[in-house]
Amino acid sequence: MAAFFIRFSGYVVLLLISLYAIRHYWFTLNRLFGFQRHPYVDIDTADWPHVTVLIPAHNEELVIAQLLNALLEVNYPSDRLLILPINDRSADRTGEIIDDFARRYPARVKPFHRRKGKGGKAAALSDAMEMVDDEILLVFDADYIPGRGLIKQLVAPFFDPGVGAVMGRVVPWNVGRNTLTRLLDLERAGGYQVDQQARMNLRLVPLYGGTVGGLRRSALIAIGGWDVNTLTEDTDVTFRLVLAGWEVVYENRCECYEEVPETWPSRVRQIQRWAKGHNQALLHHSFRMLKNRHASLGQRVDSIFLLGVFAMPVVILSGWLLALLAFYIDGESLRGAVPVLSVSAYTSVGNFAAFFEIAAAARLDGVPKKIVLMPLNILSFVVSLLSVTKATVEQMLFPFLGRVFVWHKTERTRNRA
Amino acid sequence: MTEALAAILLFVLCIGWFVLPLIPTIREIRRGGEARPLAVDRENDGEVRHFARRFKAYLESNFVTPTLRECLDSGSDFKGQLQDGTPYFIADRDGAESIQTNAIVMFSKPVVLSDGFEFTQGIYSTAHIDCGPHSLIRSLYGEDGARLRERTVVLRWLYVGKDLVAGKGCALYGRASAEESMHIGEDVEFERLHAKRILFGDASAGVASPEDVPANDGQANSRPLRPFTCADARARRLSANSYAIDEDLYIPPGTLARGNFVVRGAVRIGGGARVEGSIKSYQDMHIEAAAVVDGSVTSGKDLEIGRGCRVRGPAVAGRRLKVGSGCRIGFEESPTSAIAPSIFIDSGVLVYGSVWARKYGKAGG
Repeated sequence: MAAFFIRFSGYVVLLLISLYAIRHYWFTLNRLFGFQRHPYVDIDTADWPHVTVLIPAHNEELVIAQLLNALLEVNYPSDRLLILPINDRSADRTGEIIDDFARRYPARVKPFHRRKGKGGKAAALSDAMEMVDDEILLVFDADYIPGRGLIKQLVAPFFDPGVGAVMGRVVPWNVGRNTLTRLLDLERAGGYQVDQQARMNLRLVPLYGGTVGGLRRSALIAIGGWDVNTLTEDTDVTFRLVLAGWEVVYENRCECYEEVPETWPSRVRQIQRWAKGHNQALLHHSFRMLKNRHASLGQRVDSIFLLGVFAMPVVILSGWLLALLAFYIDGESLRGAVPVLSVSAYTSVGNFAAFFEIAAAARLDGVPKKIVLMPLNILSFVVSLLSVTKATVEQMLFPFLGRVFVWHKTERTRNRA
Repeated sequence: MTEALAAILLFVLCIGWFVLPLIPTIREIRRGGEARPLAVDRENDGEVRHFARRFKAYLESNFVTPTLRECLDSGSDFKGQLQDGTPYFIADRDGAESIQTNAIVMFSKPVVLSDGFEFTQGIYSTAHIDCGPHSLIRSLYGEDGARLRERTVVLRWLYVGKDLVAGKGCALYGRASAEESMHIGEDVEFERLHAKRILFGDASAGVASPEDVPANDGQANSRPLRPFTCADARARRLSANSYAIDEDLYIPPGTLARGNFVVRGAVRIGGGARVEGSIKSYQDMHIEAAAVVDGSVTSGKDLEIGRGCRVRGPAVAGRRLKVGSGCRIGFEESPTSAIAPSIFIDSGVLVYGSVWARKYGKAGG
């Protein structure tokens, strides 16, 4: 009986991992050789609509001025662009810096000081919505630095009345800080240049990432606004929009610099928050997505894969454990599975882009030499595997332990203002 | 050799064998040669004049004392080499026939060139330039206007400060932009066009005029438009003003549809109908004669806009865009974009803004 259970579970794990691996190979081949879809990139002349840029900022004194300066220099018509920084219960000089900009640019910067209320980005955005009148709203985290043409590029897809959300590409700027930042640079490249763009090409579901992106206000209102109880409001909004029949699009050429975590503890906290939020979305939306009549079969199936990305580390660790058990309990039951599991896991785990996705991204970005760091990616993979598994197990135990989710803000490290 | 020594040797060999493929990684970590952020051109905002501005800046950086303007005005240093070795040649009207066409050629006075010149480098002109038939031009920067006679080919880009007239059978590859108007003649092939006004049709008359295309304000039919209800189309509400339709949509002639429509099937808008909002089809879209769309039109495949229609824009097609004569796309006060891999535009069409054919564009004859 035990042998049967081990054998059955082992093959289920193998099947799941293989499906993820096939999906990643499919995306990579599509990105390298398939038709690339950029339907809105050429809209450079238009009657540009009024836009509000929301900047949730909780203790962001090190970086907020840089973003505000960059937004004031973009080529979007200044009388149609309102910058709305949200000083979210900051205990540092964030509010003071924002007020200084508002004094200097009263027609362009309209601050929102949030002094109390629930923690987390979704709660801050939700409260700020009462100040938003424009149909298009863009969201930037405070550590981002948009280029001159970025706002127009992000707004252009909204001329398509079916588009509910737009996502741009995130590019780390602090790459040279240490080995971690270099590994995160590789991971981001694979995740955006290959994974997101392939989903766009194949008309699947690109993910709205909560920053360097935008939403149609009427669509957001129609789906019930921001859910303040989620840890990843971006994933949650993506799937609620798709469930309602809206399209989420990815713009690979909307590149924007960001600051990636520079310390391992900070990275671990970030990925654990993502994991918990993503798993919440998996629980809330996966069955509804499968039954979604408005989505294509491809969208439905891929949504499940996308939502399950942060559950896979648990599956992989279980697979390793099963393989080990099989070896000691019943040497025959998973014959050959141990090497398959150990190798295939590395080629299939979702958000931590598979190595061939990273290699393809490096080639597409014109920086092929970056792949010499690839062997070290195993380190990042193992850390992510363990961190996400811990977060997922904690999440499953939370209801029994009576604990609540806490929003961990990603640390900033350098004043570039 | 003792057993211990052999074991140590084996251990060292194993470690060495393991470390060997990591040598490039270790070297890269130590040197940090690739430890740079991905180069994002934060200044390139997709501007159609990007190459033109870079060309002018390049020229100006090569003429400091005297400046480019002084050189052109005085006619001094009329021939030479730029810092990177590229030859240049300052020509005037009198010397037009002796132009050195394998150099960057600069004109400071209005010039009319005869047939068949082949300029293998760029042209810079501070005055109006009239290129003869069958000319070949790599790129052209004109501070004033330009006229390209029949079957002239521009290979890279073209920019003029005022009006551009492209005669019958010209080919404009790359980006072509004019600060005022463009008149694109019959059988002209193009890729990306941008101007305040772009008029397609017989260019022999010269500069484009909006009066050449009658305005359709949607009131041509004196009878009031009948309201089109979403119940007719089995639509479901996406938001307060947007509707989704999971099948084909037909908006009958002479009706008024209010709102934004996202249609999974094909779309047909009847003649003289009006859509007060934007409309998208995942399949083909056909807008019949004299219809008006007060928003954007997006088609996943082919988009055909019939005669005398008016579209506020943008107009985007996933495969092919065809625009019938007498259409207006965009407005003087709100220019727009018309975009598709292949674009075919009949004579008598007026576009305010940009027309971008990613693969092939042709003005009808």
